[in-house]
Amino acid sequence: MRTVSGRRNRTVLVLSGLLMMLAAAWVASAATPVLDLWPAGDPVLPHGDSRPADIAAAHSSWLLPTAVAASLLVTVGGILLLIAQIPTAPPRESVRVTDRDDHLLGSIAPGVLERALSDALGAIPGVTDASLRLGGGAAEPWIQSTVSVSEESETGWVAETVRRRLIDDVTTVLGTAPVRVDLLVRLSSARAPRTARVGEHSTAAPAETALV
Amino acid sequence: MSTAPARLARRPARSVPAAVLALLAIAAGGTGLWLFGSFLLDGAWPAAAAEAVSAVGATRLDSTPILIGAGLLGLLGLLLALSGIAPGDPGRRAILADDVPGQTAVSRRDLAHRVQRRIEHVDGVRDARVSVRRRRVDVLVRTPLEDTATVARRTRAEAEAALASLRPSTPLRPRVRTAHLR
Repeated sequence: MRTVSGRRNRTVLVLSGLLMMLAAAWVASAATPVLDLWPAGDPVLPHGDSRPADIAAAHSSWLLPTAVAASLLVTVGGILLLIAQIPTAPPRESVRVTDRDDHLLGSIAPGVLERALSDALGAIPGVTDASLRLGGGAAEPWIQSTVSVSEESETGWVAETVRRRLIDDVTTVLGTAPVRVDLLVRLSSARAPRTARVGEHSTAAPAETALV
Repeated sequence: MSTAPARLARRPARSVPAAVLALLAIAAGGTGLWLFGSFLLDGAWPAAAAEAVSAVGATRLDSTPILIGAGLLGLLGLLLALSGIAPGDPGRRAILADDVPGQTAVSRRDLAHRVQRRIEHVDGVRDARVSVRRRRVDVLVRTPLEDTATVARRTRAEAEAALASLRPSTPLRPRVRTAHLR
């Protein structure tokens, strides 16, 4: 399944948020008596009567190149962050089949195995649709599978059967049990009828038909 | 880059606030490149922005517009930081835990629909609405019957049975409310 890195997004959000709050606090300190309470902060804190043009003129030698570099970094960072929101799936590699002496016998494209395994899942009662993704190679295979389960079937039994079947099939093909099997179950649920019809196939009155 | 797939039931990835932050960064950085780059190369601000830059440059730091801008920046930063810290409600729930490594999961929406369809078969229930929260399932049923307490009891039993069949890893407690249809 394709995903977006939540850890990366959250780290960037927290750091950016803290940076913004720090910048806002620095600017807002100009309207507070912080300098009166802390005179040692005079070199780094802004004065209330200061103007951005005066500050820029006083530090023009390094402020302008720094501003250009910072703008470039922020622009590139924004572009990279936007691209990172495109969901991606972990890479898969061809499955290398080896003999007992670790000699390569052949390699199988992951898609071939995936189709075979998903077809086998479709034969399980209760499964209306199945797809899966196989990765990790022959040494440490992992599986992510999605199955649709019909409403009439016992979901717990179907899920357990699917997981066991995947483990058995992968172990048979690759000689190694999968290190992880993730299963996403899609439950189909039909709406309950609002009315119940009695004796609709008889032309006689329903009550008389029922008594006969 | 990790080759292991992400867990099925996990915290929201916060893609929307991250995308908003990315767009703001591109806008702010692009504007800065245009302004500061022009001044660095030409020694003057771009003609289209010269008046605005001069006005901002001549404003005192303790003036009201500057403080409002700082306040908005701080508020935005607070919202972004909170969105990164707050865990959020996972879109999928882990269910049917067993001894096999890995997860079995179902989407919150499918879980709510399954419980809703089971409850709609309860005698006396005209229709039902179900929403899945972090640790409970909110159920609202509408019934034409006067005895709403019995309908609520049957609904709770059916909801508990539906949840028990799926064995969510985090126990979900159904909270049932009834509305009498006149």
